[in-house]
Amino acid sequence: MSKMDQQLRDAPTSEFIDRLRARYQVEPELDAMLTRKLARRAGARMVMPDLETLAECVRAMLRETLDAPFELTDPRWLSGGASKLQMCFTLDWQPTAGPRRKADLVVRMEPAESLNASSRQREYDLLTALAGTIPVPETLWVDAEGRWFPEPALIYGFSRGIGKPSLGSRTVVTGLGTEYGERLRALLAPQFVGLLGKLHAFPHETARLDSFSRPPVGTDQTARWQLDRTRRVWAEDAGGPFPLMEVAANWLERNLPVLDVASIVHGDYRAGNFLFDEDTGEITAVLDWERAYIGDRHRDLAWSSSRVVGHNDADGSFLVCGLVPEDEFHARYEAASGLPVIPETLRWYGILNRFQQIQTVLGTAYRIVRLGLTHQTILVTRLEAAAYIFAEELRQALASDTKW
Amino acid sequence: MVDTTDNGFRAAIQSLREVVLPAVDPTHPMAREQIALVIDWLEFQRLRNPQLADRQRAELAANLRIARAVDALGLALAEADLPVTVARGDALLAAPAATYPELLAAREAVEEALSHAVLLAAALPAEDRAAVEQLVIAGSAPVVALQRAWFLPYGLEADPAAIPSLADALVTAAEEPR
Repeated sequence: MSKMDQQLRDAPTSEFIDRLRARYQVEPELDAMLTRKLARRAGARMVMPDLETLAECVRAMLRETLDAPFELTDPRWLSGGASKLQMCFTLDWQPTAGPRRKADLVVRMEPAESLNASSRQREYDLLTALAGTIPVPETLWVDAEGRWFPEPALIYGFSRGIGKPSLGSRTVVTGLGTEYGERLRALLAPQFVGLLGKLHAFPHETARLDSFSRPPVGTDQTARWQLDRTRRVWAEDAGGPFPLMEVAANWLERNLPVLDVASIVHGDYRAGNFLFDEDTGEITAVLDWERAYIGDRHRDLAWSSSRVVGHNDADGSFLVCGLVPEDEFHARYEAASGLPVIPETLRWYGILNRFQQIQTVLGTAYRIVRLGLTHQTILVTRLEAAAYIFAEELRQALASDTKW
Repeated sequence: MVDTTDNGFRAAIQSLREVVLPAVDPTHPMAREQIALVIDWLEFQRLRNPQLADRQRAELAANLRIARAVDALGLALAEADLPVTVARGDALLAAPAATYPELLAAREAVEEALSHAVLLAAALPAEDRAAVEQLVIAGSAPVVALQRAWFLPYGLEADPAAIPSLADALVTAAEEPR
């Protein structure tokens, strides 16, 4: 990569931004987020707030939002997660309706720049719509523009449960290679698949999701938006050239699938992004909805099957997310959702996902660490190791394809 | 005369583990987690530091093979400037005194030229485009395998036993297949 290219990516000019906007067509909301990201980049730096500073931001917001006095106590950091900053606290307050409450809540805030440019408003709208159907955190307030907080933030209820078993996890980052053990696997697998089916069958057409674009069924629009999104972010963030990525981009462009049914797509549905009760095996909350959009369900199906978030069982069979054998995963999903798994479309999204995963770890992760824009630089740096697992999956998928 | 690089790594790791980590606020899980990750990263760098130049040399060799093969197709890819980039890379590979930054820059230059060639190939007839892309796909295998062997200590592989040793991966990437 030339020095000039690095400089442009570190400190984007308005011409560079406009060129990328014109070349790659993405959802309007995403265009706004990516444009904002680049426009701010040259002047942005991550300043890690302390707990009291963040707590004061919460108080400032609630002073303008609530009518009655409230009390915020015990602010504390939540660890885990490579993308957002999260603080837990206890709030005693009078809701608009109902009796006074005291509960543990979470502030979820962007760093200066994260692994995914995403919208807290969209996350808030979606969690509100899904409440009661999918176990999700209870959403309370959103600061969509960073009025009270240094960056956009969301406040929601603290969900009980754990992200990985208390024993047997092989790595530091939650979700990569999680070993659940036989008992929990038997309890969690049906829920994991069932909830995904429920999500994809959710009647989003009647839900209040104004910040989401709705791709037309019977066209390749959603696939094109996802491809161009990844290509644009790769162009914005890439740390260096990777010829295999250009081959993948060409292939994806030539083979765009048509959308049969529009579904809410989680975007990062995997082990580590749900909480569960270790005693009962109940999934208590599905988390990390920042990548969600309305599009093709095959995106989630392929994502969950990534080798990095699963592992082989004792017999050498691959377990999707360490929970369910791959050959059973699709059959169980079809039964749970009432929606077919289309092999050609699944294949396309499998290749897109690997393309996007490489973009995330060799592009965005590289850039935000280089510029010191995240509070998790040392964790994000480690993700590079996953890039080549994705690259080999991508390479093999392309090599075995007959559509040349 | 002694080289103290390895000692420096050991010192940094010990300092963090035995002095800094015990002093960190136990109610700050992110701080404790990050110190553990820094220690882990330093241990990894200590392990791999002696072979940084070997890795770049092997990657350069593998990418040069792809670039030569694509250039040999004789297609309309002049804008990618493959012959000049390959010649420079070959000269550097043959120079025993080539430094790590030089090898890194040469490797990136070859990859840049290949990426450009693939972009140009998208506009060629399907058969020609496919020929270029398939050379990149096949030729990338030893490079990707080398990276997986390099990062194996991070423990992210679902089947670590299936990954070649770093020594084998370096040889495979560096040498022309027999």
